[in-house]
Amino acid sequence: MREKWTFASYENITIRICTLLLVLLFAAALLAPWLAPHDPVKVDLLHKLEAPSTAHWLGTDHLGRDTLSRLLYGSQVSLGFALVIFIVSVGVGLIVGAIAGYVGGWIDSVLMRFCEGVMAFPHLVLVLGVVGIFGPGLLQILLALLLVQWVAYARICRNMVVSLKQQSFIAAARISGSSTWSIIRTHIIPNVQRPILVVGTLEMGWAIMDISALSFLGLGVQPPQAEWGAMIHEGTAYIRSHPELMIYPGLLILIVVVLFNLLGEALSTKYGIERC
Amino acid sequence: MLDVSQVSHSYAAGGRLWRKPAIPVLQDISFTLEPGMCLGLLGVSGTGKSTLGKIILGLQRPTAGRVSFAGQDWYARDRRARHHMRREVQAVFQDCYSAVNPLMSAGQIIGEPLRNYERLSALEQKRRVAELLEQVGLQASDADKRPAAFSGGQLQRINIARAIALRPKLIVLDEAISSLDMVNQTQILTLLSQLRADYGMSYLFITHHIQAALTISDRMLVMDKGQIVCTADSAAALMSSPHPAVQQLIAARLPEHPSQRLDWSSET
Amino acid sequence: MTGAIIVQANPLLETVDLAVQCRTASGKLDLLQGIHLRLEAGRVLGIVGESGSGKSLTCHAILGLLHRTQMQRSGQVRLQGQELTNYSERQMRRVRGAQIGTILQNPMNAFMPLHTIGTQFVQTLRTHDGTLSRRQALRIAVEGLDNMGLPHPQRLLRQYPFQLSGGMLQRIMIALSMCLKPKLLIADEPTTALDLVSQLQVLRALDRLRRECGTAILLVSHDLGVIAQMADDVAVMRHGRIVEQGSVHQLFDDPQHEYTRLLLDSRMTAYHPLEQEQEQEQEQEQEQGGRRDA
Repeated sequence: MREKWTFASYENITIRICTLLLVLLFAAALLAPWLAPHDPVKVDLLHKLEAPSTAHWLGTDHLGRDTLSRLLYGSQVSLGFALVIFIVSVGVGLIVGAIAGYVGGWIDSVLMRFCEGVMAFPHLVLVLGVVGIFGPGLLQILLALLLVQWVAYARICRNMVVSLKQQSFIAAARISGSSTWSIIRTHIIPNVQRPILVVGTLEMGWAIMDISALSFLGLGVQPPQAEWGAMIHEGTAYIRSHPELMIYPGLLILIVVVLFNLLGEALSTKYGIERC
Repeated sequence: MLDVSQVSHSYAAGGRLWRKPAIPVLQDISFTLEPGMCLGLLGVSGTGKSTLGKIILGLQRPTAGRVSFAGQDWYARDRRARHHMRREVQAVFQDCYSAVNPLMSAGQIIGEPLRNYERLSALEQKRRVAELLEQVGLQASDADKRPAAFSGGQLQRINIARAIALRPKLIVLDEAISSLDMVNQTQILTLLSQLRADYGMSYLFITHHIQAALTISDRMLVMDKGQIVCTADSAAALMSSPHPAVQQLIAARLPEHPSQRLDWSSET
Repeated sequence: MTGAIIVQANPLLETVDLAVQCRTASGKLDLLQGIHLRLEAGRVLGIVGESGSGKSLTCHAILGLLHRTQMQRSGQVRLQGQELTNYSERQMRRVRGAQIGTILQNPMNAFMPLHTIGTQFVQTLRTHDGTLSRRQALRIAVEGLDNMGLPHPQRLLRQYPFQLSGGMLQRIMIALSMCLKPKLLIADEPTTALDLVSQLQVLRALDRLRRECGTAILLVSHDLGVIAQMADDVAVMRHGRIVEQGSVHQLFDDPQHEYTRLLLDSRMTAYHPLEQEQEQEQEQEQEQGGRRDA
């Protein structure tokens, strides 16, 4: 019984809805300069901590800055950087993993021992170390998170490639006269793509959490620039009188992370991939 | 055409640091294969048949010995020469499911060798693929289907189509029918014999299936523990070989009819 | 459709109108329909058919091992008159362990790769008989393997599954079954992944299990040779239905269904001269024997 059944497409619906919502969020981030009704960093102390009104849909913060505009600009940082981390670390991880897995031998050993070394190191300590050396800032965090994340992709990719290599279609491709590079391109990478996509989607959620968390601690985005984690941090002083200053960005982080996780789960069910 | 002389092979055991003595898999194998001939390579699993197949396919350099094809040494040549030689020696593997990339369509799978060697126009390639599909008993419309849509027997036909796409001189059939059910085994064997008659290809038929080997081969080699223990040109010669490995293979055939049952009732 | 079967009051295993449906996006799909099987104690029932004909699914349906949300089972499965379809998952697990043994096509899946054969052997024995000590269980294991004619049982028990060949693992599985003495063994393509010599050893082991423990065997195979050697009764399956059923001799000598004839014709013997030669030899021997007797 090797036929492929198409089961009631609960997964497909989830995938569509999550993708749609995420695309909307990304579009909002991209179009922030046009969508935002106000300058996100313009201080207007006369209108501080205002309730929602027609001028400020979500009210203003303790410096009279428009909350909606800050959320929109903040999403540029959170989502944009998560995307950059995803693309760069997947790219590097895929290449390193494919080389290690396909070539094997001592190259594989060296690369994988290096990856294990990085993985064994506590992430937060590594990130704090980078910030400690280069000072707080977004780029430093980006660098630190990249350093941590590509390793995971490299290892997944390498293990996939090693198991793919034993399948006889790789041998068949060699016999058909395909070069090593063309085998990696046409046979290995397409077959690795799906699991990477699944893991990547789940990791995106984590990356957003990490960026927000580090910004919350004041290690990432520096004021007055807007970022969700930083906004929560700014809101902590007004937690009793104006909890909404923390709730809005917190809710957004929650929604985005949940969307990424749902999407990842649905993709992994659809492709029948066991998450590692 | 194919000349295998004194090939030995051993696998290194253990890691890079603590190397154990190498495990010998093949010892001093020599034989030749004439054009248009089908050579059956028989033996139980673990006797190094598949390793020998890989060596002949140019996928595994033997630790000693020479494999030459049409007078050219496989492993002494540079990459370009090997690329040219490669199109003459194709293969069909045992596990038809893992021998095809699950993400490619049948047309892409069969078209892979054509892409690498023939540089045809898209239309021409499509026509050739359709032709090949029909030759192996499938339909031209199957070209767009993915492997998941085919049964085991059909997939093995696709593998055969890929192997004959370049009109090779030799096809290594590594347990090519062992994973199929009986009906498909017979059909695939018939197809293989027919293709051989049409194109005058040679086969190296690696199998543990003595009946299948006898059906299709002109000559049989029996391997045991990495060595060739018997060469037979006919069924009778094979049957009369005194070597225990050969006798064991012959004795392992199952009856065709319940009345010919092997009697085990006295065993304890 | 069904041939003559000796009807006894209480067969060991009986399925009545067993059917399996699969829920798909485009409605329900029948995978198995109208499976009536009877297996008497100590006999071998062969199920033959090409791949995808529903042989394995039948085994899974009997064992209650279907995908819970996607597959739906109907009909009855009786083991010694007990209705298995009413059993809870927990009861079924006990039945699968104690009364029905299973041997699968890929023996690697039956063993945990991280434990030695001995650990798993002893563990299985002890879950079935709580009174056994580790040492006793180990002794039974050694005896079991030795009894099965496996070489160096002590060393075998210390090895890991991946160090052994498929045929060896399959025989270890049978040796384990022999220690547990199940009433019924379901063997799903037990020799398909093996070479002919290992196949013969595994079939021999199965035969001994039946003779010495009286275990009935439900033997699934696509190989008519295996069926001819082992089975007492045969059911031929195609597209999820039984097309013909009867005693093995009846089936081989007088196939009723067209498909059975096709299967019989696909045996690879029609081509080659080997069998004839051997037959001639046998005839000659018999003649010579006859003369000697005379």
